[in-house]
Amino acid sequence: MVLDVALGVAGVTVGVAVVAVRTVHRVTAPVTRLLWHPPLVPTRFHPATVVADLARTGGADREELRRRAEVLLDAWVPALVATLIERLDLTQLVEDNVDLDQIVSTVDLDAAVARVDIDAAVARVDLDGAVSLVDLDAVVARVDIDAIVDRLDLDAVAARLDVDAVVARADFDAVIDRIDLDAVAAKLDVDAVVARADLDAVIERIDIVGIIGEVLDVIDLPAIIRDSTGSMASETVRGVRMTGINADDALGRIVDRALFRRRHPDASGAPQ
Amino acid sequence: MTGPEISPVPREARPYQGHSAGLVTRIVANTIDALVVAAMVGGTYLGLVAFTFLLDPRTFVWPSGHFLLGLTTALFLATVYLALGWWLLGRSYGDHVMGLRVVDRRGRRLGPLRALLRAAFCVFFPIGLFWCLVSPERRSIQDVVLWTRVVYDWIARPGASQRKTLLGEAPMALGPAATSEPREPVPEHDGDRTRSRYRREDLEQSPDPAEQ
Repeated sequence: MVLDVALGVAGVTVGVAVVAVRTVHRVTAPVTRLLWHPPLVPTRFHPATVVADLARTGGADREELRRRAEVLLDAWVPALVATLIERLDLTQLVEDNVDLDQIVSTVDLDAAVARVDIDAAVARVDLDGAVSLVDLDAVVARVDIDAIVDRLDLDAVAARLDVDAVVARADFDAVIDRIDLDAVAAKLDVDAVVARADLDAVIERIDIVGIIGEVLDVIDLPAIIRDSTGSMASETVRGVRMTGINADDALGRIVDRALFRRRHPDASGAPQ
Repeated sequence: MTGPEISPVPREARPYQGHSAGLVTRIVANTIDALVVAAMVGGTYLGLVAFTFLLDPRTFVWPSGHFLLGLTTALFLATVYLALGWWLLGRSYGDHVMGLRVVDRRGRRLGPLRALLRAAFCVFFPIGLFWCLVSPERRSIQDVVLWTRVVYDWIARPGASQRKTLLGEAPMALGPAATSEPREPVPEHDGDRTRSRYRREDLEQSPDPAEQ
């Protein structure tokens, strides 16, 4: 309340003062103008002109003094500051008085990183020593490999791979020993594989004529054809022969029965 | 020859191959041979007639048949025909049609002398064939006397280029101990054709008196 009253009084006082000054100024303006520029006096002797000349001279002196002061400061300030800093624990001072988090939050780190020569920095790092300190197992255990693989451009990676060199270094025997080929084969869709195979190309590569020649050499096909056409060209001959054999057997059985004898094993090759 | 055995013989006939043929088959084969001989006699007669006609066509008269001469010719031709067939091919045409083969006791083709003797025996004593009906080993009189056999063999001309063993048959032992013993076929290579044979030990058990 007291403060409000005081403020109100002050406001009123200021208002009154302003009004009073304006009134005085309005009243005294002609007089003031007459004093600064008195009539009948040469212009260079007007008080206004004299004051203006004094002001110009004083400004030039002030500029000269400022320049000399800067020279003095440039010479003395570094020496003084160095002397002061030697006596101060700046780190402690910063830690005690500066909010580093707030400062860092205002820094544009992205822009800073963009200006850093990372290649040069990496070249200076002892990566082997650093890696030897890392617990890679623990790191790998925390890695989301699926997410990484999803982001990988495997096609591009595969295009850069020197597959021949990789294959040359692989120990395929050891790999095959560890593979359950039976299980793999059981899962194979052989029909699909065969459907995709270019059998015509495969057949073109096979020496069918050579294979047939070897087979014919082994089975002696001409002899078989000769035998077949020479002895059993017709079904009729075959039927007559089989009928004769069966008749022989039947007649032999009748005679054996009539003579009360067991059938002789040499009598016929028919299965007993 | 090496490699798998591929037999041209039908499956149902394979068990009979190499076994003695029975009376019916042999009668049919002999009938066919008789027809062949009859055709030969007829051809010879017609050839003589044509030759006579060509010599003097004007005085040609159809010659009357002479029974005794014809019979003699027929018997002679039959003997020569059968002997040549059994000697050179192991079979006559009738045997070929019925799938038979005449072999000696070792399963080989007959020699010329034995083939001729057997041919003459069969031609002049055909009734001897019927002995195979009562013979336990299906042998005719001719077979018993000349130590031969007639076997089923549907393979045409095996080893026709030389005289060799076709079927390793057992020797003609008359005793029951040697003949009643069951034999099992064993595969064996003879250098020309893989055939089902009998054990060779059987051949060596009994000496062949005909060759001593």
